[in-house]
Amino acid sequence: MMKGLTLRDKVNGFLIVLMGACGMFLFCLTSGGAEKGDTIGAIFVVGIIGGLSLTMVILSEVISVVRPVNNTLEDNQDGREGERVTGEIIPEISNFWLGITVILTLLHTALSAAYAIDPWDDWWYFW
Amino acid sequence: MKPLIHCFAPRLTHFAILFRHRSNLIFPVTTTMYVMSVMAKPLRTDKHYINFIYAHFFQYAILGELLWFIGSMRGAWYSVAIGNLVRIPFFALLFKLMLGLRKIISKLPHVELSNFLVSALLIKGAACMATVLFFAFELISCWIEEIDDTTFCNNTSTAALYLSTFLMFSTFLGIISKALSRSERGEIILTKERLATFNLNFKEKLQICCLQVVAWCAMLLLSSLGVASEYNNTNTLVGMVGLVLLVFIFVIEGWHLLNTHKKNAARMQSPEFNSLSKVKEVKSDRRLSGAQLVEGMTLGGMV
Repeated sequence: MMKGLTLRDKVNGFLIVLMGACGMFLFCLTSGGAEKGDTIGAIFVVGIIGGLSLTMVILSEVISVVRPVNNTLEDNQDGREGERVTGEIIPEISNFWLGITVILTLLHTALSAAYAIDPWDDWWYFW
Repeated sequence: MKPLIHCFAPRLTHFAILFRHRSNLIFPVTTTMYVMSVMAKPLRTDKHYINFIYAHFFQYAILGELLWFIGSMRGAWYSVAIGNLVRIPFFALLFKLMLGLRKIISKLPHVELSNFLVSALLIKGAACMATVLFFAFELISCWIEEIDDTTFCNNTSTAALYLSTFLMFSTFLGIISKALSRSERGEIILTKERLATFNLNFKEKLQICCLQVVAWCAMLLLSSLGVASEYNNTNTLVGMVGLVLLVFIFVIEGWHLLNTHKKNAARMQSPEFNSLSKVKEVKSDRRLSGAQLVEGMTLGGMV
């Protein structure tokens, strides 16, 4: 898994996930009547991030549509064909996905440590 | 740099505490991730990788829960602290189950192993986490609206917690249902005709009834997700009913999986199997797996 993907594909994938997360966040706020400045600011920032991600994905797609015209000519000259990445049989999930799961569970443990140690000793203030 | 960290870190800590106590949404997400990480490379049996799995278990399940236990005790949240301690044996049990499943999965034919990793583990796991993220955003949205008094989000947080846990268990159900090879599973599809005539055995009927009740519980929780109100017992009661039934289905499925696997292993070792069978393939009783039931009921519009 994750083999046969170019850096562009990976970046695109990340941007789409980011856009999806921003979209979900904004969707959840649709029912609320935001009045406070902070809330509107948060909506604005999340909207900008989502919008930028979408723009970059579209730009990347446009570039990839334009570029293969040149690439295909070069490929034909070399006698190569495009690689097929679908229908592959895989023995394991890539280290990338494994890394994400490990990092996020480590983050969970780090939050637990912050909660347990509480160096500023003011967490109770919130309650 | 130091003042900057000092300014933001307490807020992050507050946010983590709020997330943990008010919703426990982190728990289903990280547990799904943890299960995915253990099952990601079933063919790796070298010492380094096994050590990594054990270290990950220690870090996530034992160290994480102990740290939350300490934090909860410091804040005199004794019920939460007890919950943290209770989760350690749950994780130990889950870990033992996953190690057993890893062994079973590693014996799958290459194509089925590949399908399992892609469809049952990665895609379903990612879909589960995306949905849980949606519930988390619902909760954050509520906190933003009720920033002055977040007790009004207790209703949303309870609903989100149970919905996330339902999703987590249904993902696990999908994973264990696909752990055996197709020939071993003897899996059949739940057609609308079979559903209409109710041409099913007792276990399948029981599972369908339980799943239907779980679906109703989930619908009720989903409808109360967006309602900002103080804590009410209805959500907890409905959530607990759904959860108990889902765990019951999970146990039936797990028990059947282990039973089938043991039976097939014994059949393969028997002298009759080696002398009589021309085509050496294992066959099981034809049945509906938990995952197939969920898929069939979804298509039938019941879940």
